[in-house]
Amino acid sequence: MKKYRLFFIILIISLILTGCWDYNDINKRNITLSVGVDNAHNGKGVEFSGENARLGPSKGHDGGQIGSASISSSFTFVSNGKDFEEARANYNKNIPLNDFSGATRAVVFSKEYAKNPGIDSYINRVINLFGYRSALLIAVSDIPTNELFNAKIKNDISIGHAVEDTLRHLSEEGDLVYKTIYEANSDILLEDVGYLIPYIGIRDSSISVLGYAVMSNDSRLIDIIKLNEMSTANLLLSKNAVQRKSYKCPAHPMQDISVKTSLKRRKIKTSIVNDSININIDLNLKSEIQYPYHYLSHNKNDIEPLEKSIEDKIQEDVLNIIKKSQEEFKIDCFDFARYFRVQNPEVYKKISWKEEYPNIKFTVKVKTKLVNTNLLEIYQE
Amino acid sequence: MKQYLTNRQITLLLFAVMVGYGIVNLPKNIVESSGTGGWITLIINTLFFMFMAYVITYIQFNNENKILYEYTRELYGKYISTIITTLYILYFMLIASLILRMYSEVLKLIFLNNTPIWATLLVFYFVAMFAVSKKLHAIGRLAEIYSLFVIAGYLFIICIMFTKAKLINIQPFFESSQVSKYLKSTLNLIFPYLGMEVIFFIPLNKNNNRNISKNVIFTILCIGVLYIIIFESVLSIGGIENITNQKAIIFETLRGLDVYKLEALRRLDGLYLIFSTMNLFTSSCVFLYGTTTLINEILPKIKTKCILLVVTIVEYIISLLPRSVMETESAIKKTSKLGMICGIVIPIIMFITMKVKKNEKV
Repeated sequence: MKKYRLFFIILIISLILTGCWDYNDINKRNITLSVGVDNAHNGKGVEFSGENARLGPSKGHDGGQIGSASISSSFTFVSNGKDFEEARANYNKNIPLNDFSGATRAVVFSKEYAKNPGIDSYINRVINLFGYRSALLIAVSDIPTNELFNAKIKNDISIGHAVEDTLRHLSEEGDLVYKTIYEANSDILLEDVGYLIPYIGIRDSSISVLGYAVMSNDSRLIDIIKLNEMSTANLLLSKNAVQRKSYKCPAHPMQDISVKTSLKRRKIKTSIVNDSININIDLNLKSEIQYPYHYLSHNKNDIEPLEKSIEDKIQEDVLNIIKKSQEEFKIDCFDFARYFRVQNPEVYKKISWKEEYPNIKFTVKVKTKLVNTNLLEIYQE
Repeated sequence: MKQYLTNRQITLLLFAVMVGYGIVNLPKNIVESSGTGGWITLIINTLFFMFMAYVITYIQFNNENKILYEYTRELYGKYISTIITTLYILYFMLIASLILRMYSEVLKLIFLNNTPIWATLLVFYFVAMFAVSKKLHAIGRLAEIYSLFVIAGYLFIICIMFTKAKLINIQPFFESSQVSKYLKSTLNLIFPYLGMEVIFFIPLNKNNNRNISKNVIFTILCIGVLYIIIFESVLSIGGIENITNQKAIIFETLRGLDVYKLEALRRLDGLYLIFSTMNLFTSSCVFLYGTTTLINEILPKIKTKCILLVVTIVEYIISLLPRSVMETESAIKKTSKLGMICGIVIPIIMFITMKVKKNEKV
């Protein structure tokens, strides 16, 4: 009897351990690497485009183990429909194997789709449906997504990989703030605020970041923050914002000095004075001289004016970009609403932040100290 | 012969039972009832349940080597004792079957989309029945090993979550205008603290379990702290908006998190699934054992293994009874009211009775 019991237990366990109910080997799966969402049928429908992985045996190079399956390249797909469901059904008809969306790296919306109808429906789809990852990166492309995914790029194995790698490395260096679907959803649910997502395109056969797409509170693209303003926007958003700029040395007008400025601390204080909302932004920055453009002898008296000119320039840039958000975008895309809600919870419940935002008075204080001059010798006198 | 557990085994078993299903929706329940100041509500509840831990261990410790049915019979007579024990049996059966059903639903929603509920439940019950058939020692050891893994795993996940935290999301820490709300919501947050009543079917021994009261109270304190840091970590990532709009919120938050630098451990939701399943499995074993033992006390002539088989089948059927997730949720809510009776009201009555009887003797 004991022998039979053991036999039955082993039999049942081996049946259970065969894996998930819908287990399918990796080479019997259609692995989606990236998805593009665009308008179809003159804006009355939706078009999915993107890339699927082409699996092949690894030949041992690129770190792959010989004999194992690896992503050798990708092939693109396009499907249309009057809504997501129809487009998806058409996509399913065109793929030879079961779809696996868990490995998707990025979702790219075309500029036209982001303008109208807006990206919130797709975000809801990913948040609520099984099989997608809400940690997906999102971006807006300056060209139709079908064109984007069919372009040849030289520096990565697929557009999806290139988008993810580019956004991540820029973010690590403090040059960009990206959003995942989960984070964008949080902004959408806050209702009265907008948000920024990376705006990308293809330049010189590579994925290139062109700026930030400014999204309204109903998730429609309303404007673009261009590349030259990105680092200023980062000072308001990023944890590790960095600027590398050349400044005229006030003591030597012919001299340009390359300075790396990084964010040390950002303090945002909100208050209500005489029924109007004030927001004070204190930016504490750390500056480092990287190198001078020309050889000149510098002494310690040159430092203070240089710090002052850095402070003035950054203050002006920050005020300009906030003014732009108030006058042109007419939406808070820098997360000030969250600060105000935390500091004045009762007032926040009573007002409409979107309506109040253009009238808010902003004060920006920038403080920086040159902590490092690199190899440049600064003489005492 | 009665089997005893060590203090460590009891505290870890208690951890498994209380934390089990309670945390799946904990941050959502807290945010909905008391907003970002939910930690205050959690502190109040933790303090109250530390007192309850004292009450329950006092009853059990002063009825040495006995379990619920035996000493309630001495306190209140056979009939009342049978009624009380039946109430506990009913509660343990219902809560175990419903939380297993609910957890299977969460698994289906997030991971095992095509697996039918009956199959997931079958695996759970089959393994739990096997574990329970090995009696209290096996459960004690199981809880000891599993809970240590679970604690380490949860702490690791929480630490990683805090690296992605945004301080702005967990503020304001305290709003003076919301104090009455913080107090009122203590009633809504009792469910995560239920489970302490399992001590009623673990016989204590004055030599083996000398400091049990202190240990159990300390465990409740640790669980309270764990609840607060889980709540704050989830809130710091998702913010109040995301939490109130989603189900199975810890899974959802972890699904939205991609810690790029962790390489193989990037998918924290998968890691959390392992630990929460271990945790829930232990708690279902404990409940199953409790039900079987209490029935066995009332009906000593029937073989324990037969009772275990019948209880498992009945629980499996109860798990399959609700027709939808909503029905399961409302059934859990109703059962947690029964839990309040079994976890708070009856222990306090017994505690008072014992104190009165002790004074009479003096």
